[in-house]
Amino acid sequence: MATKKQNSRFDIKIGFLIVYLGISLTMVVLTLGLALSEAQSAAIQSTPTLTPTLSPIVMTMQAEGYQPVDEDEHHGGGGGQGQGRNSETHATETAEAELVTPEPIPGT
Amino acid sequence: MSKAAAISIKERRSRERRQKNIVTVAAFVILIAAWVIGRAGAGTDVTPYAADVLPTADRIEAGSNGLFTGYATVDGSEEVIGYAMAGTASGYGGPILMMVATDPDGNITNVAVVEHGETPNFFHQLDLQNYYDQFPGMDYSDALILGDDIDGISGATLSSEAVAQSIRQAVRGIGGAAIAGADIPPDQQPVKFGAPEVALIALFVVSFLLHRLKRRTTIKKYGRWAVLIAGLLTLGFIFNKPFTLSNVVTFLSGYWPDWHTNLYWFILVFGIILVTSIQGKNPYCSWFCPFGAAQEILGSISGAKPYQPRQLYSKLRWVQRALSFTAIVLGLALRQPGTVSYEPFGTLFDLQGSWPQWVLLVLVLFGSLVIYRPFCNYICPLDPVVDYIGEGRRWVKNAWQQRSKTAVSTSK
Repeated sequence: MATKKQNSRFDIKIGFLIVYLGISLTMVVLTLGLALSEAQSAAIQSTPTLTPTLSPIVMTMQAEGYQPVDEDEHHGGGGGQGQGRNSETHATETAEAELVTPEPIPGT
Repeated sequence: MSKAAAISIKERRSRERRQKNIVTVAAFVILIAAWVIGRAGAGTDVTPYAADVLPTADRIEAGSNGLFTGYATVDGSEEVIGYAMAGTASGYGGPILMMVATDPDGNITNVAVVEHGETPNFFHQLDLQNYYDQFPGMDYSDALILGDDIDGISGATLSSEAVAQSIRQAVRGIGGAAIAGADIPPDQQPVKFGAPEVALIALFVVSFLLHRLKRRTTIKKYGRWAVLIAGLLTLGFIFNKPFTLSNVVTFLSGYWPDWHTNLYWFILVFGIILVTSIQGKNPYCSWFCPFGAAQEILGSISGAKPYQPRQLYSKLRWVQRALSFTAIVLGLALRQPGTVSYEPFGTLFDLQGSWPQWVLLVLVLFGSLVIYRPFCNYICPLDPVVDYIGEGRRWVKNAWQQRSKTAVSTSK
């Protein structure tokens, strides 16, 4: 009888140990899972710039005496426009696109 | 014992030895494979990150020397608006790769982390405590040394150090490659030897000497307690620099840190290997592991006893080994030494950790009141690693003795 009681208590202790270690191991697996998923999804961490700077294109647009190129004139324009003119037009288009959907500027 | 029974025991032992050898060879092959996979997957193309650190550039040109030049169109003509370059240095969990951008004069405008293998909770502290904000405005002529012109982050000193080193490498690279007439100072790293290194050496020496005491058991007993408490306070709560799985994976993967700035790492790793090889017993775990000390102190308060049920214990030890092995393999294959370090050491000593680590810490601390060192005996990934060093020592010793015996019998 005494032996049986002792065996039963012994089993309970082992049972507790298994449950205890089972929970601990689950926590270890969860720790690893969380850490690895965090590491895999770690995105680039960019820091703010020292002085908030605007895109040169936006700055050009804000410059005194700047006049946007007429959209119709640009699209309708045929020959006679030089290389520099074409480049400027391209810059204006880009600037307009930026005004519609401005890019977030770090540090601002 | 009958002859048949003796043969049966001999056969069983022989079978067990064969199985053990197969497991050892398989484990070795898997480790090598993980190392090769990790090596093959290492190396990130940093080109896409140049655009992130040069957000105002319309066009980025990659040079052959790792220099990226950012251009923007102003009034129809293209102008250089800045440069970018990647720099790398070894941190706590392997190399940290940083991308740095400067203006045309070489002043840092932007820095970004491209890749790291640090423990996420600790590395995140750099971001939370605005560590990176110190760099914009500095240039290639600045020292960029922790404690000099850069403030480190407490609890993530090695990561802070490596980030500063990576940025220094990159900004000086830009200075040398793009800034005409840049006077780049020589890269001189002062050897960092301070209180943590002194404490660690003292713990190694005292524990080694006490371990060799054969007669004075009282001195040995109280000396061990003194060393344990000293380890808990210094390596644990004051410096938070215990031996972790990250150290093991860093060692195996070859991501050894710069000895000038991380001398502590070398003393710890090679100290354990050296002392275990000399005295045949792991000095760290039983003498000055701070987490082991915390468990042992709690256990001594409540009178906890070792609990190792005979038949179950050997199986549970295999579970512990499998856990440790899996974490090492993952760390090697993914080249993420800091990530696979699942021990809740930092959770106790620096109050940093994910929620499962907090739960694990509570379980371990409460468990320590009932069972003697439950974490060390059943969960710690380092115990099997240090055991393996001891096993290696025994194997070499046996082989040497065998060779000596053979040599003697041949000469006779």
